[in-house]
Amino acid sequence: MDEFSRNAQQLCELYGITPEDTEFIQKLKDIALAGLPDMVDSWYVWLKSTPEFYEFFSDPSTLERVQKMQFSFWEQFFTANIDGSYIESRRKVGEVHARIGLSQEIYLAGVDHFLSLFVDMLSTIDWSQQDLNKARRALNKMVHMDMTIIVQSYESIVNQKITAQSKTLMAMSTPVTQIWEGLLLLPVVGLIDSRRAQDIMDNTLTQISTNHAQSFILDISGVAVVDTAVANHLIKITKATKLMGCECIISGLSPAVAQTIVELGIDVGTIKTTANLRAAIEIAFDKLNMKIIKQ
Amino acid sequence: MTISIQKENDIPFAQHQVTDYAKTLGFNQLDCHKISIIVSELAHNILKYVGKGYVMFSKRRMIHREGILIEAVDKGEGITNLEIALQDSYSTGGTLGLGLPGIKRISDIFEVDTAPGKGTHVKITYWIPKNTL
Repeated sequence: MDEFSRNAQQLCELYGITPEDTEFIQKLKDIALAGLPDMVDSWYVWLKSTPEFYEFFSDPSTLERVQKMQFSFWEQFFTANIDGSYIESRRKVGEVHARIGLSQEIYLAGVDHFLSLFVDMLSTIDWSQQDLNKARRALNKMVHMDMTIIVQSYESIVNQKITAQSKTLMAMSTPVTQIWEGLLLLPVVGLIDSRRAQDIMDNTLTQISTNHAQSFILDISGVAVVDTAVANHLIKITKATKLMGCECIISGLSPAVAQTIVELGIDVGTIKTTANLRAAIEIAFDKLNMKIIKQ
Repeated sequence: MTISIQKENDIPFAQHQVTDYAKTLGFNQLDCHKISIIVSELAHNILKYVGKGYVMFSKRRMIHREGILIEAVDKGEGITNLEIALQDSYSTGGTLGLGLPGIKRISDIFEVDTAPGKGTHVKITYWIPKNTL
């Protein structure tokens, strides 16, 4: 995952976490862990007031597991040993949140809630005002760094989901079908980028050669935008099919697409185009010396 | 609105955004289509010749007219010879060479600010046709 370009040390530098800060956190450890059970209780009182609680924590065994994880997390947090494995464990949390669909909103609110509980705890300690301020600042820095790691890994899971979706779309995007002997049809829906254009080209040419097709209809009525890049791809596809002895007809040019092609100054040359699929099929059957007759 | 262009799938995103925006300004469907083409051409140019840059769009108002201002900014090499680059079918990138001259034909005002080594800033104004206002 290249998004995490920063390692533990760089993250500390980014947030200005100094050895002094981690020392303060470590000094807080015993007090914090002693007060933690009460804090967790009061935190769950807050969480129960949100609808998310019933969605994600209604099952008692889940709740128990999550609470255990919370305790061990805060223990790890106050040990303040920020290294690769610490960062990794925070990343995992973000990934879990993204997979189960726990919103960032509730997570961030929850962290903030915890932070204010800790700040309340600070006021019960009899340290000098200066030390208390430093401890508060250290807590803030650590918690914010934590949130960043989690938010980032959340984002990367979401990005992975998007990539997976677009791959699925790609896989079903070029179904070249034989609709009659020697006649192939490919309806294109959506947008044509360079990768998809290459897919169309590869698929079409293989199908032409395996099916000995003489006509190929490329229906672009589902393509909203034809700019010069798309036009370039279409021209290349037509040229390549022609080289293989197959005539290419582009069907489904909408009025808007036709107008913009003219205004952009694209020379469609000898490419056969039709307004709709029906006209294209008629031309193709004509070329195959066939006719559709009503019985 | 500013949209960063770094990957090929940033282009359809920019197109969607600009189409939605143009609709709120009162453009009809055909004009929205053309505006989306303008953005697509500009963004393709950024990707092809520089690799990254920005596409921006905003409302443009003059005394008697209203329209959309579309800008494309990159910090690349700049266009060495603008006059040639605006000729039909001239391309150093192996494509049709109709992007810039094409959008120049489509748009109402077409300004390019470029110099070798100084990057490129293209500004395009597209007015809302008067009878639809």
